[in-house]
Parts: sequence; C-alpha cells; structure tokens
Amino acid sequence: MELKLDHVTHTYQPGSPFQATAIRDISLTVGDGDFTALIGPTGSGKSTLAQHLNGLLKPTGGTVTLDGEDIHQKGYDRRRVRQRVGLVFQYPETQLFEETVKKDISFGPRNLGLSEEEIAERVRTAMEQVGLDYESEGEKSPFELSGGKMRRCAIAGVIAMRPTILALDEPTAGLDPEAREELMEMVADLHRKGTAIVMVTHNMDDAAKYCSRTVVLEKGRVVMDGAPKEVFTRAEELTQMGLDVPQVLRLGMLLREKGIPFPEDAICEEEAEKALLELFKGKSRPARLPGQEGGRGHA
Amino acid sequence: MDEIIRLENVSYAYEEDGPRAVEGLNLSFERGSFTAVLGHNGSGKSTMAKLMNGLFLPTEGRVTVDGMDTADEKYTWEIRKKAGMIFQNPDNQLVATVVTDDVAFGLENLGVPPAEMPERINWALKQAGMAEHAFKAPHLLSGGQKQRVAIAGVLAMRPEIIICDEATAMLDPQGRREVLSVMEKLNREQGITVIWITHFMEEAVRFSRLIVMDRGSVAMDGTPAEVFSDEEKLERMHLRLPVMARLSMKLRKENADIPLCLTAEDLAREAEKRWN
Repeated sequence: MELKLDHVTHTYQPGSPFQATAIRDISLTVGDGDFTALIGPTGSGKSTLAQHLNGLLKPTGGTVTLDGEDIHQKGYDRRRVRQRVGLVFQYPETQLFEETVKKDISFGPRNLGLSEEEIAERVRTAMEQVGLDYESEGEKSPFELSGGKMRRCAIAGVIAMRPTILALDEPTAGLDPEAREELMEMVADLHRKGTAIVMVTHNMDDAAKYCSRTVVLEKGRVVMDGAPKEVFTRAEELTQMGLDVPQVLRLGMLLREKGIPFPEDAICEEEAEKALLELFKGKSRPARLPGQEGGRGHA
Repeated sequence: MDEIIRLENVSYAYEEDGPRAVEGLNLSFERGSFTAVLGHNGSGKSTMAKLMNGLFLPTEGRVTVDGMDTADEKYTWEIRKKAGMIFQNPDNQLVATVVTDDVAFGLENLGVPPAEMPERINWALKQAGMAEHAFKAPHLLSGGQKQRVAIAGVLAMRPEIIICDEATAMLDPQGRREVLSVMEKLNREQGITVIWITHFMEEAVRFSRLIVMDRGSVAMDGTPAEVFSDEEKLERMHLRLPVMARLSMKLRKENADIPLCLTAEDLAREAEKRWN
C-alpha cells in the first residue's frame, strides 16, 4: 500500500483577499511500516497536510494517489480512501456524540454497511487496542470517561474502520503525563501490528523515541525529511525555526561543550542512559552510611 | 509568612450532593511567590484555580485573597482585579478586533478614566512583550502571542496575582517558552504572585514551589528537588519525572555517582564535576 502526495499545493480561499497558501509543492510518500513524525512551527502547514492524507481537502495543485490511483479523479470513490486512511483530529474527544462508548465506536463501521456481528467484533477489538474494557466500559456514556480515556475512545472510532494508515494530529495535546505515555504506547503498538502512522507532534522526545522518520515543515514546505537521528542532529536549524530538540540531544551538546565525548547520535532516553553509564563506568558512587541514602524527606 | 491567598478546609462540589472536586483543601500562597500546580486530569487543579479568584465559591470552608473573603460579595470586584486568570484556549479569551481594544476591555469594565487608559495599556503590552503588535488583529497572531495579549489584558488591571490554568497546553514549543518567560519576568520584576497549572514537567522545574494535587487535595508540596525525588509517589499520582530527572535517577540506580538532576544543564554540570 502506498499513499503518495505529488507536488501538492493548497491555497485557502484562492482569488479572495484572504487567499493563503498553507502548503507548497509537497511530495511525500507514506508506505507500509512507516511511523512518521510531522513536525514544524505553528502555521507551517502540518494540519493542512494531514487533511490531504485522506482526501478531506482537495489540493489546489498536484495530486494525491493511493496505490497509483488519483483519489480526486472523477468517479473515484473517496470513501475507499477514508476507510484506508484514518484521520484523528486535534482534541478528537470533542467529536464524541453517542450515548454509549460502544455506539460511538460503531458509528463508522455501521456506515460501512457491515453486519451486526462484524460491527460488534470491530468495536471489541478497537476497544481492546486502545485499552478500554468492552464489558465494563462499553455501555458507559463516553462523557463519563476520564480525559485520557475519552480521547482513546474517539481514536477507537477511527481504528474500528481498520485503516492501513492512521494520521493523528497532536494526539497527546492537553493530556497529563500518564495519559500521554499510555496513548503513545498504544500508537506504538498499533504500528507494531502493521498500521502505518503519521503523527503531527510538538513533542520532540516522543518523535525521537517512537518514530522511524521525521518530516519537518516550515512555511508550507518540507525542509527536512529523514531518520530522526539525521533530522535532530541539525539542532541549530530546528532551534532557529522555533522548534524544540529532544532533551537528550541538548544534554549531549552541553556535555560535548564540556569535553565529555557523549555520542552525537544519541537522541532518546535509553540511548543517553547507555552512553552515560559507559562514560562513567568505574566512577561509581562512594559508599554511604545507612540512612544517608535516599533523601526522600518530604511530605 | 506574608500570605496573599489562603484556602481553609475548602471543599467544592459542582452539584449539590455531588462528588467533591476539591476536598478539605488547606493551602496558602506567599506574596510574590512562584508556584506550579501539577496533577492528573481530574485531580482538582482547575477547580482550585477558580476558587482562588471567586469564580467559584467554596461549598465548605473559606478562601481569602489578601484578607478578603471571596464569598463576601462586596469584595468580588476587588478580588477579580487583584487575581487575574489566564485560561487554556487562547481563542476563547480575546474579545476585540484590535489588540489594544482587547487590553482596554477590562479597564472599561472597571470604569478606569479614558485618560488613564493609554498609559496602562502601553505598559501592559510592553510587559507582555506585545507592544509592537498593539494595532494588529488578534486572530492573525500566533497562539503564544494571543496568550500574551490575554496576559496584557489581565496586567492592565494591575493585579497582584496571576493564575494560569494550563495556559501553554495548546501552544507550540516556542509559544510555551514565550508565555512562561513573560510570567517569570513579571514575577521577578513586578513581584507578581504566579500560580501556574501545568502538565509539562519540564515547565514545573522552573518554579520555586510545586504542589501536586490528587483527588481534590494536596498530595505533595515542596521544592522541585523535593517533589521529584519521590518517583514512586509521583507515578501513583499518574505523573512522571521530567526526562532529565528520570535519566539521573536511572543512573543512580545503576550506582553511578550522579545526584538527582532536574534539567539538562544540571546533569551536564554534575557530569563534568565527575569527569575530570
């Protein structure tokens, strides 16, 4: 399966005084097995690009093809794209509307005209996938769920369509640290099970930890595209764009300034831990008296 | 301690006989202090924030702002002036079509004489780093800039306290940095008491006091070093250590001679000491 954007340009309200080009001449291919992070400053065109992935917007220039077929050509059934490319908007829980979690998740599959058994099966697996309990939470109102679970319920509605590509626009925005971690693990698990992921994010630590590819947008154009290690080592350019760099990368820069040979390509926590332990091998803590250890004296 | 906000046995329920969003809260804030409030979604942070400037009145207990009881109607306006609030969504807080008008809105409501307004507005915009955008339309600004207009709007009322309820949650990294820097400066230079609610642990390390909320009460209260030294408890509160703190703790567990570090700068400095 291959989704291909070929020289895609999108101009909002063309010909009006409010004309604004959000993305320019973007060529990008999303294939099986990818986990792509889409990063860039506010207004760089990330969300516009995401909406081109499943044909929600029609390019004002260029083409979007799915397995070689132009999805905007006359007579093409765009429902096919919508099924195969799932799109999760920012704050998707604001789109929950049904009385129960099960009903909400089954909305999409029901529109596909599937049998009741097939729908139930899809709802069950989608709930399992996002870590919601079918028996105890399926009949609840989605609005009774915690913030993190509401979001996962909304994502389950998209997963129940069994997309081969899942695009998520800032899926962890506004979640607390635990809910964020759970959500990222859930996305990583979907990826392991074969769904290609495109994720718009501002969290560079997540991009460094989970993604296999990082695409950087600036002013509507793709300015970098490569493995996270390739992209994040261009820290200076990223910082100039107003983006963050992974914290581990910043640590590495500081350490090297001080003459400590921390590897330049370490970008995530695990790599940093390994590198530091290696560097400080033999420099272990002096033994302490009992009671001195810990220092957790606090209410 | 010169306290500016005090909550005494405060409980709050959204519905009569409903569950308590805040329960038996006892807390006070020192004038000029710089505090971050952490806690998982639903832990009572926002409810507490709204109790602190009289947007919510306690179901039980008492909240005082600079000695004024929020439940006493005669103080309502005085309290709102003294304790400004910034909310999460920048688009819901701006009302006018030009930045200066937006900042003037609160002043008009307070009945500030028009002759006094330009000076107060200019001062507020300057403090928020938005002077150069004074005549722009708010909807053309970035999220971080919109939040700074909201801050200017609050500042023009000359508050002593600013409460930010996840003011950076919807912003990009640059916007987050801009807004937090403005609040740091206001605290440092103007002595404004800042109460900053956040889910970002990397922001929290920049505050002098951290309060962790859980189930409507205070679960932890101390300096960042104190709070972040108890990883197990934080995890029970559905929170996580900042990346650098977690990294330094892992190294400690492997017996490396590294203390708890909260930032990359800390960790690099400690590593340097042991390197040579």
